[in-house]
Amino acid sequence: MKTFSGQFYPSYFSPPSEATLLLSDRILSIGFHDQDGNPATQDWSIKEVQGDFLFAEQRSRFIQVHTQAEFRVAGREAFEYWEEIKAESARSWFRKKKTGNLRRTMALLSAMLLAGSLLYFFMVPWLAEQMATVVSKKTERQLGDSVFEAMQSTQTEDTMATRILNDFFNALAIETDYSIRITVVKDETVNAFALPGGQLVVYTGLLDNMEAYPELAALLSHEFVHVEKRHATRSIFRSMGSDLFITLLFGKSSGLATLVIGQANQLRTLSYSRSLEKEADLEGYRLMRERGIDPAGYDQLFKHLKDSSPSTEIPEMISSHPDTDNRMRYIREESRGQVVKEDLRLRSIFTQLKNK
Amino acid sequence: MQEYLGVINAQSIIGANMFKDIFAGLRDLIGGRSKTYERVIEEAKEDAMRELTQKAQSVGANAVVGIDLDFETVGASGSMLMVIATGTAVRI
Repeated sequence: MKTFSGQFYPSYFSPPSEATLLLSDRILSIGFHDQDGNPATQDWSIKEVQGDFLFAEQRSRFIQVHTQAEFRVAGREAFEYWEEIKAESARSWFRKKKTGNLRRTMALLSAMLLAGSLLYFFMVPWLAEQMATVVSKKTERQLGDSVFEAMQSTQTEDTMATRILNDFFNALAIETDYSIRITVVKDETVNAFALPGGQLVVYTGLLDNMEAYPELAALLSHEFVHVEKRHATRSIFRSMGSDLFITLLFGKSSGLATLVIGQANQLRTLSYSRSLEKEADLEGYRLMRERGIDPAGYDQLFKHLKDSSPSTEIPEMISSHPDTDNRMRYIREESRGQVVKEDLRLRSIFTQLKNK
Repeated sequence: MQEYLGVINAQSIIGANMFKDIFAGLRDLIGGRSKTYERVIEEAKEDAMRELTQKAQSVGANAVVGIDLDFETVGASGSMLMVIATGTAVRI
């Protein structure tokens, strides 16, 4: 931005008056006195102005192309500055020195959003996974045990069922580096879960509904896969990773933005756990198939889960487990043409459980 | 000095934008000059000065003397920049 003093010709025929000129990259503004001697201004946009240098007069001249009004300044400086402005505005939008160009800002913003989401959705989880694999089995076990101990104080254990379920799992003869310890908790809730390091917790509410041993086998193989594939540990690292990433980016921001981001983050970890559930279903099913156990056990298990929870109407998008019908479907697809053989040992252990 | 035409002022308030804030935040973390914020201040100052000049022209001045520039942050988290330019419009 520069200012100059010179002569202003309001029209081709009118006499000049002493005036000031503001030359900037956005506007050309002229301050002058009208015929009555009152101060007045005229603003010209850069596009409607032609500038040149009158060599004979040694003056810079600016002409408003529509009104033919002119402004003349002694010397070359004004014209040279004008050339600079013109050159800058003729640059392609992404090379401009100045900020404030909407198109460039939008392009930059979307590029950064893209890079950010790539980082967030692929890089951060990947790093977290890498970190999770470094965690030793011993650490996992300590982690699971401490959670288990904290939980134990509020729950009562069904020791008889616990013993039978451990027998049942051993009879399945699944090879693993983890020591799997199953605990049955007296609770009406229809639920079971796996803690990192090998603790499986089953609620009596789920066992009471069971009708045949394949269902129990399905449940235990599913939970076992959660342990074997380190699902809990991976989830913990993932959510820690994304939390850290978000805190780094939006450190001090508060209010609405944090709320929205937090919600989005929760949705993402849910969907992560959904893919883990599916992996557990399919891998668990594979274990059953190897042992010739009836895949109908999975069907039964899902049916009981569905009956017990009125929440099945939650859309899959916002639920942590895949939709039960969906789960039944992919297990059925997997199990087409499978040969089933009766395992007498498992059946007798299951009968013990039912008769206890 | 032929004539005093009164005190005039102009202000410009600019938000840096979220991504500049992030970059500036990173700069704060690792230290050093923050060019992003410097450019924003420069831009706000230019805007305020241009407006001040236009105001001076509109009252018939051909110069502004005794200009004072004030820089402040405004907005909920102080993330916007405000520049106020004040000066006396004169004819010389």
